[in-house]
Amino acid sequence: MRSAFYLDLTTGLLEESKEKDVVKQNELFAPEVQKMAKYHLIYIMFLFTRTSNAKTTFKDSRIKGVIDIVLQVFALK
Amino acid sequence: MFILGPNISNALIIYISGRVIDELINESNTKVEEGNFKLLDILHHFTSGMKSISTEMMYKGTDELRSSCGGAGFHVASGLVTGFTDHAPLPTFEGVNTLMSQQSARYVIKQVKKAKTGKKCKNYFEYINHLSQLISSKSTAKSIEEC
Repeated sequence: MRSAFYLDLTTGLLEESKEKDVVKQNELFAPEVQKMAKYHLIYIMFLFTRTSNAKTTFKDSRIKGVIDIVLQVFALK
Repeated sequence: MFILGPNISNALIIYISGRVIDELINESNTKVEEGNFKLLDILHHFTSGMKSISTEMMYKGTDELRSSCGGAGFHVASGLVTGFTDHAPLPTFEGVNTLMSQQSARYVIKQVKKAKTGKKCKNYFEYINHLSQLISSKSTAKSIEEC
């Protein structure tokens, strides 16, 4: 959700401006672009871990539950 | 716990994501040997972005933990001092984080433009196809468990 919001906001800002792409991304909206990339990558890391956790079989079955809690902390903090 | 918990979760997620990226790199190397360079673009996006995110998390997290230990955190015997000084240059080395996340952002912007022309984004970028729906949706959860 957070990632989707920042993606929509930033790409909207980039579309509205009539400056060159380099100026828009590196100067005018640089903080928004940074934030957007950050939240998108946090989402990607979340997704990586969730899919990896679903695929992996652990010797101790309780580990999956622990990683699920870790994922919740990572997503909500 | 409210300081330690998020930092432990960050460390574990960085570790697991790193392993996934490793697998992707191996897959890409095999494909490159066959003359297929398709995965390079997405790998550049992941590696540059994750370098920036993980080193920032590491830098801020270690400092947070060190300061939480009070005076003892400054003591070499705590192990935090050497760890912090060893890893502090990482946000700058191999590409400053600002630059790295900007490089990473370019790929996402490309994906959004692609989605707006009607083409579908695949795999990890699938959520970009439903941006407007995601933003306008409201949660019906009434408790933490339902979230």
